[in-house]
Amino acid sequence: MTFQTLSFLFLLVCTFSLYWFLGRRMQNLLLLVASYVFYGYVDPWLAVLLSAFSLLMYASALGATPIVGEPAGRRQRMFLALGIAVAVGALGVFKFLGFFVESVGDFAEVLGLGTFSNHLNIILPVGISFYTLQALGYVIDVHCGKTEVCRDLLDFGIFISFFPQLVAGPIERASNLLPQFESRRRFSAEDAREGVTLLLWGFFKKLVIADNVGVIADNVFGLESPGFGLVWVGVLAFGLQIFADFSGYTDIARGTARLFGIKLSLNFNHPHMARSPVDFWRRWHISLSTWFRDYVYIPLGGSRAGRRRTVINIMVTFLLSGLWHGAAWNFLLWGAYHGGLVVVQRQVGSLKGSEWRIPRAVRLLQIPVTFALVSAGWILFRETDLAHTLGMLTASPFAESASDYELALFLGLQVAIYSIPVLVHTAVASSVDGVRGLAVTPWQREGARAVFAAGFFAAILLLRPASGGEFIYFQF
Amino acid sequence: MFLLVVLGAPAVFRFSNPEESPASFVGAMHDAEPRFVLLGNSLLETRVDQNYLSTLADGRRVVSLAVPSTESAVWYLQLKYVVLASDAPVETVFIFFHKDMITRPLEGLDGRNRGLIAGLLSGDETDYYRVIADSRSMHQQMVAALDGVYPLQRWSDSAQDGIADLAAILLPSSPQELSDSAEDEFAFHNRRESSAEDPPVDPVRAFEDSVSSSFLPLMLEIAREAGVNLVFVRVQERPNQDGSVHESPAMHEYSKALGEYLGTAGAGYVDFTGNPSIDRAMYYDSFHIRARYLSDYTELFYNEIAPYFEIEGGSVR
Repeated sequence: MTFQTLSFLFLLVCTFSLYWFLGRRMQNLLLLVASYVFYGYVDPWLAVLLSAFSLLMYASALGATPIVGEPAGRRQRMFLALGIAVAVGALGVFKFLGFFVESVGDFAEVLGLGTFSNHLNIILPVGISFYTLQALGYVIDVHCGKTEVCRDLLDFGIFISFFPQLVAGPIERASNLLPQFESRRRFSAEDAREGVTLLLWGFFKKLVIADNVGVIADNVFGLESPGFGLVWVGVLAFGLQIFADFSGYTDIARGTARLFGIKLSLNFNHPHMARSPVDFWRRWHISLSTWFRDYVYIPLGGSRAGRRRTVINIMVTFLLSGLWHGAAWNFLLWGAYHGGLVVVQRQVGSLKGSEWRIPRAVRLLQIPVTFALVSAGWILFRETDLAHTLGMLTASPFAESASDYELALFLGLQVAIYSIPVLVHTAVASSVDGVRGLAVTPWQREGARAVFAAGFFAAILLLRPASGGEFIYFQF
Repeated sequence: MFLLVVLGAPAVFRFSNPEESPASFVGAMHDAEPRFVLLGNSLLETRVDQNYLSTLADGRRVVSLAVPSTESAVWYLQLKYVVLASDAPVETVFIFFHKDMITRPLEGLDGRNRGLIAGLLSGDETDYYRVIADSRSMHQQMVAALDGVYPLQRWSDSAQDGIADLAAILLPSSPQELSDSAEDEFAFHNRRESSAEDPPVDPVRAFEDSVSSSFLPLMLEIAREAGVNLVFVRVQERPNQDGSVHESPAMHEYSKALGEYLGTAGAGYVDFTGNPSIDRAMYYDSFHIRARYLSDYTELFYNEIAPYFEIEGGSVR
């Protein structure tokens, strides 16, 4: 089931209608049932897989919990290993086995060892990349004593399967989400208003911005050999599309959760305003980048093991992060590209002393330069055919006619128009601190929010394309 | 209160699109007094130029009442309340459709044509509502109910065109020229084969199973009573790279059964599937024809349907 369907609306309304009349445990039970209906709606086999995965991770966490006052023993480490094996194994089988076998077959063919039938046709369960990381982080945290083990199977079940964030995150930490399921929730009109506003803002970004600029991106990336102007308009369009699509999904997830009194983490913080590649990763898919930081980069030694080892740690982390997005060479290259950017930034930073202040002129350029570097990386992310990637990157600006550039400008201006709401949102968000000092009554604040929400709703009705696409991150 | 404002405010806006209102159709019929009428959606709009067709047919008056994104429910209502209700000396009505859409009576689920349908419906429409109720799932009925609350959606196409027009303000070429240029650039022959694959379609229902719950029998009945000929024109899907026809055996059987049914009912049937004169390069997407081929296709269409215009041989090639 996906968010932009009437089936989801029906499920949401039914669940919400019952939810606030129930006690804590019944609320969790209702959410669990709704989550399994949501996940198994298209294929009940997915619900079976999710429940089996949840049970195994529940058992792993219980077994991996150290005895109070004692260091973790062999038994606990074995259960930790079991948890890691289950999560990584699930990812490995469903996500990477097909890619591995295909790559080995292709390599063997290149070496002249023969032709192999190397397509396994393994179907990727939706959301597996997200809930495996969430569960794995929990088991590791429990083992390390960073979070309390959850002994209630119902609470744990809903922690893993909570339907708003099940299929595309945010990847939650147990320390944020579990206590919310373990405590009593009371209806709050403020939560409900905030939830509805987030829902509409998320749907606006998905249906109006992402789906409309997605048509331009799809057209350009579908061309056999696009010219220079079109390539970069397509890249801009895709950059806006993926941001609006994914952050839109996150806002819908956060808004839905808020209707049930649950606060999910922020996953995007105006990434187009990033001043450096490192800053970008503090603002883009925050729950994933912090997961890789805490469970891969830091355990590898982080930046404490010397300069050379730090570079290796950064590259390993980004390569794994790239591969997490999809079992394909283009994602690996995308991870390597961003890892390279971060390494270069660190090297340049280390050349300056801590006393060095960035000149004003350079500071002004930081945002557009970072934006350009990140945008260039989207070619690697979007284009799965390496020959076409090369063709796009080497398109000559001198082989274009004036009419080619006019067409590119025409499409680019449409992308710019669709980006205006995002920029306005950023401007409003960054000026909120200044506005807080003004004497605004609660009625005025709620009135403004209602007007904005009604505007988003009207814009969705008016500007959504006749046929929209699926959320991009559902494929991961 | 908050929800009331959010959900209520967009329902207040109720626009109408004068270009596609029943009054505009009636006006077109009255002004042209056509002998030949064309009904259909954007597939007709991108294929046939009514003025050029009229010229080809020795000045016989032709009117196209094409409305984008419409399906057989709208064509039935146009036929009943616009074409057959007019004083024009209509002899033949051509109805354009693709695949098996002539027996899929959905009325455009996104509500864009709801105002048009509401304007066309008048009085007791038991037959209309029976066919719609028979063919709609509960999901589709819910969508239709929501569409009724928010007629703002009818301006969706215009609003999206407005964004493109706004982008064109700063450029020397007109919005239409720029749209044509984009259409040329993104046409099929410039695309990679992998991105030119057709989207999956709903499975074909056997003709015998679908005809009774469609508007087709009603169309035939009212035309027969009015003494007007009906000709159903099934347009061709874009051919494959090698020029072969893109059609499943089930769809082929459907077309064959439809032809036999229409023949028995005394209506005409022209199926363009497999027509060798239609080139893959003429297509913008799976079904729509690029703007620059409008005249070519009009000639092609004229050549095929010349007998229905009572013109011997009528080739213009």
